[in-house]
Amino acid sequence: MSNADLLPGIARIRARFVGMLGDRLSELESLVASGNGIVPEPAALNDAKAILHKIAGSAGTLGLQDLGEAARTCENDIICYLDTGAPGLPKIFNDLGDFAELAEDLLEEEQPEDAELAQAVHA
Amino acid sequence: MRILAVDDDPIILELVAELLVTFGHHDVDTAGSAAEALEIVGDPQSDLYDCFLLDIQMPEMDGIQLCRKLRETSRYVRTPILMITAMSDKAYIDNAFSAGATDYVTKPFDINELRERITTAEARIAGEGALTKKIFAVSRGTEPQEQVKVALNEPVTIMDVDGVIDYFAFENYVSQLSRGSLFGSTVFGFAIRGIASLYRQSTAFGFECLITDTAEAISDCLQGNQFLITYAGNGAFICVVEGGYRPDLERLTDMVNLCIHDMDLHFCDGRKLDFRVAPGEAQRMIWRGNGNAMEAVILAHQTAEDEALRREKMQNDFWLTERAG
Repeated sequence: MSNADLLPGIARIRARFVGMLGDRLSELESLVASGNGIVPEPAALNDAKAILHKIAGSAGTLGLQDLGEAARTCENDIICYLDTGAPGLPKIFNDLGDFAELAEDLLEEEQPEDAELAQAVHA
Repeated sequence: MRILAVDDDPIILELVAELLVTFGHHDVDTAGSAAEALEIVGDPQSDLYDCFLLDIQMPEMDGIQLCRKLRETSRYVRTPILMITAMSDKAYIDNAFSAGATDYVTKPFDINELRERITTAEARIAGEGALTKKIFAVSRGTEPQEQVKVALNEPVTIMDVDGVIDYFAFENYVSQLSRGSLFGSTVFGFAIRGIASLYRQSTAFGFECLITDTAEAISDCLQGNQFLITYAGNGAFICVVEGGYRPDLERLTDMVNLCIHDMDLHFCDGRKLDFRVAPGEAQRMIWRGNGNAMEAVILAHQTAEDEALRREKMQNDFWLTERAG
């Protein structure tokens, strides 16, 4: 039995989560683009990590396991990068791209207006 | 139960509130930060909370620091505190237990698991009653009047000793972690030799000092490792050490006994208190399932008690042999 079956109010919370996802995605985008545009500031990466941590923590409970796992991968990438310098930025950007794609698909499916906005920001 | 949930993510707070209300007739308050939580619990008009759910990773003051602050207050010294954590936060979990957490749940939530952890906390509250009688603290002053002596076989909570946690929390720690990551952990026990006799000779306060000082000695001797210790009753302590630690238990026992000896302890009536601990068998916890992990704890406990009895008997037999010779 899924969490959605067990928890009657989950649809409302999921809608709120998706409602916040567009803003979180835009914030991630600007944090990663901070600094000289090539290497993000460590402080900005820390903030990005905190956003990803929140998404990873709640998405799975709301039935969005893939999105949650993609966020967790990005979070772990950043933790490792800030601690050791590995994996390199290309891997982080690549994983963030995968995460953003999943997030945009979800927005497009559930909130088409927010998806357009997010895509406009990326463009 | 009256529950305070603390998390910096409003979605998690909403989820937790929804879940807890679904589980039962819980009265749930939420706080978006540790500072807000401290403000709420510090309000003299505020009713007591029966249970806390604290996110570990929060900006500024994190859940572990908040847990420690709550434990410093007399109102919440034994209230169940469940930490909310991402699955990768193993080091944080250990620190949270050291800070006084009694259990943890992982994010994303498995609803059945959360329900079970809350039910366990509820059962704990219902079953314990006068909890504060069972707390031993290093920061004790002089002997208090009319102190109730705990039963010899009763686990008690020892406060203010590094790495020493409540027995209930220890059980939760071992049974929870065994599901995921007890890789490389070793569990072993120490038991105080001749504990029944020492118990009979001690006042309530004297027995508290005996147990707390022994916990301090074990904790001091394990410094440099990542460890948790609990007092399981009957003079027995159980330790779990992370990171592939392979204890030389005979050497460690000598160190603990030397440490106890150096404390120069006395009974309340001034007599010299000289006692020793004996070690049980160390148990590795790799690949053990949930039930087996607790079996390892029980085995560590049991073998320590058996060894304490064996060594006491051996000592008595030695004197008998000497006398006969």
